[in-house]
Amino acid sequence: MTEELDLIRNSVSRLFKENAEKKILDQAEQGKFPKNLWKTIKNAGYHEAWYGTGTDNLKIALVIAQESGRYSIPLPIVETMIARKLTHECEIDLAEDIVTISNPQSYDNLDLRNNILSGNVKGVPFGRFASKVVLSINEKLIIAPVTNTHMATNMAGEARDELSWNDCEIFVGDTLHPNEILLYGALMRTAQICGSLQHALEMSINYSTEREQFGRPLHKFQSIQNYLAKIASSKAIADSALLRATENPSESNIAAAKACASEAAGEVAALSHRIHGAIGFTYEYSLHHITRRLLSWREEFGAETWWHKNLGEIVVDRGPDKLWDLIVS
Amino acid sequence: MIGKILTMSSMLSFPPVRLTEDSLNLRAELREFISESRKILDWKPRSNFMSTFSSEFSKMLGSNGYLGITWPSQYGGQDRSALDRFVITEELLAAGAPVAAHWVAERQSGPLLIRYGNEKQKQVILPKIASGECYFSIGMSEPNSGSDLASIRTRAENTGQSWKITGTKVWTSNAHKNHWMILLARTSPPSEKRHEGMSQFLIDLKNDKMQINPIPNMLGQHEFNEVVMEEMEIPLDRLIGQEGNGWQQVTAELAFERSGPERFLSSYNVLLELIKVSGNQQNTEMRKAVGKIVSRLMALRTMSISIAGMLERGENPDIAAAVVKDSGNDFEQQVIEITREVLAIEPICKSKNSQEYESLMADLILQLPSFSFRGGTPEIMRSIIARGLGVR
Ligand SMILES: Cc1cc2nc3c(=O)[nH]c(=O)nc-3n(C[C@H](O)[C@H](O)[C@H](O)COP(=O)(O)OP(=O)(O)OC[C@H]3O[C@@H](n4cnc5c(N)ncnc54)[C@H](O)[C@@H]3O)c2cc1C
Repeated sequence: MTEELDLIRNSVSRLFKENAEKKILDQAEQGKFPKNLWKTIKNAGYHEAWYGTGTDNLKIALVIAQESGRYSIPLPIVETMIARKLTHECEIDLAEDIVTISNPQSYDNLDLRNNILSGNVKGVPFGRFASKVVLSINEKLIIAPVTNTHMATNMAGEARDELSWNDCEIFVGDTLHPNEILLYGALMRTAQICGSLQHALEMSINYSTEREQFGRPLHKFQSIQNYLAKIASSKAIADSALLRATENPSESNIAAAKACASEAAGEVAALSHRIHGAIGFTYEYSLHHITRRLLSWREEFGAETWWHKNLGEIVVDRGPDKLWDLIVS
Repeated sequence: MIGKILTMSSMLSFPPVRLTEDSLNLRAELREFISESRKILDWKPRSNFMSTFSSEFSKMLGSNGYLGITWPSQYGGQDRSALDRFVITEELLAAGAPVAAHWVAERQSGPLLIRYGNEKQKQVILPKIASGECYFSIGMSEPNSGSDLASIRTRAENTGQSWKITGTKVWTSNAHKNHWMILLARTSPPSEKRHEGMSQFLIDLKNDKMQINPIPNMLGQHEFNEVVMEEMEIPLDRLIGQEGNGWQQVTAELAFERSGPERFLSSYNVLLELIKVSGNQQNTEMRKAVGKIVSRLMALRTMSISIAGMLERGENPDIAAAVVKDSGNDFEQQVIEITREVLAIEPICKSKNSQEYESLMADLILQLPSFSFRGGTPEIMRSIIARGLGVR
């Protein structure tokens, strides 16, 4: 499977790289939905890569998530993947829809009676572009139409909208624990962060090779080499934690993965800017497409402290004698 | 350029590893052995791998077939995989077993001899390491050569009948207890190409004519030594590998040294204690601290076993190993600092009444400065990583 995954990664990476022009990223930030790119992705089937029951589907989905993060693809690929996965046993046909998910951490006053929903949710990724959103209320899977939208964005200019319902009729499905949405969201964001860390590392290496000061390339300075090594190490930790969660997506592994990725996101964003100097702070130069995503994604679906607490509770409840089994399992 | 960089940075990728049924059985078996040995030898758990030197324990491990298992059977090994060995090392460290006696010999000296040693060296020494009876020191550092190892001055001269060695090694851990030392020395004078002209030798610490002088460490303990050799003569067949090939051999040796679980488990006992205390209190900050430590530990362990997989496939993961060593050292330090933030405790040395935990903490806090040096300093690890990224 490792070799197959590498092949998949190469083709996904090529597709994203060819299509993620700076112009598209800039326009997406102005609110323009990149329709053609979405069509391309749909044709490739990326948005439903996790759909179905194949055991390797998750691995493939995470590769796609990682590469989409690497190229800052401004589209609800992972959200649709998760929504399709969660609803795959429902009798509703969502094949043509853009579907998103809502993080249970940002539900506000949701009230569900029979199948009538009222209340608000915040920070819904790409809410305004989606036709439906998947939630978990009273431990039931809910599919609600996107109706009232108050537009908001994260620090990277990605749509994170507030949705509201007022006595709205919705679809109520089978049991769905809210934790599931949160865990899946965290796992996908972890993969996106890892992809983005890769790009930040590549840009920082390139820039430090091209830019000269005091008559030599920046990378000849030991401090700069240190920053690059630190970026590579933080990335290696996040990658390893993601690898664990990919092989065995248990709650504790996902918690560790998102915590490590969120920590790395902050460190790498800061160091990449340090290496780039003023040019990295300009809108023209694309570093910010990466770093603003890193800084946003590290908070979404649980920041590191949230997952530290979650993992800490799991570990303390099990007690010291069972820690080692958790580490080596 | 981009192409080059991409291949460089993909060197730092960590492929997944699946343990076989055999490895899992080995783990279970070993756990039993460890608790059995504790009953018999009554050792105290200490997760720093250099803390307890117990030849009884090492021999017990050896006679039960847990040492040198990756080596060819003709030299006392069992032809098993590097992953099986990984399982053994991590179980020993997590249990805090007293592994200091055989650790270096089994980890790096044996593998070095298998790769470069002559037949006689292999036949005489390897089976003894595998049975837990034969221990090794590392003779690299000198008074004027630390990180800059290529600047060593110890000289070995071929007189036709013997090698005549003159020079001083320092920080030689357990030279006063071990049987052999692998010495790095110059066999031709330094030239333009500073990595050439060095060779490695087997030194018999019990019988060769040298002075071993203790250097007490800042805790007042005698662990490392100064080893002074003045025109010390050793037989010609003590040369390891090829004359002049010393640098390449040392580099290979160091890759075994850097990526193992001993690089991030030294403060594991403190973590266990923190979890125990947290269990008795409804304190969110403590749980956060536990989660922060455990999340990193999980990542490091996955990285380290992935490197064991690379070693098993015959790859040379020296850059990845430097990442484990550097991040592992940071982590060991963090465990102490994070724990201090949530657990008010005054570390106590050598008091009869001191709680186990208080003295554990004191010992680790004082040992910590040294953890980052053994096996190469953080700065040197970072420059190895930078080289791997193609920027040096
Ligand atoms: C507990 C312990 C056990 C040891 N056991 C052994 C042993 O058994 N055998 C053995 O041979 N050695 C042993 N050592 C020695 C160890 O390998 C050295 O301490 C290590 O290589 C560093 O050398 P140094 O101490 O001379 O420091 P130096 O090399 O003098 O370094 C001092 C400081 O300068 C920095 N520095 C040096 N060069 C550079 C550079 N190019 N760029 C940036 N910064 C730099 C270092 O990172 C460090 O921070 C042991 C050390 C310890 C602490």
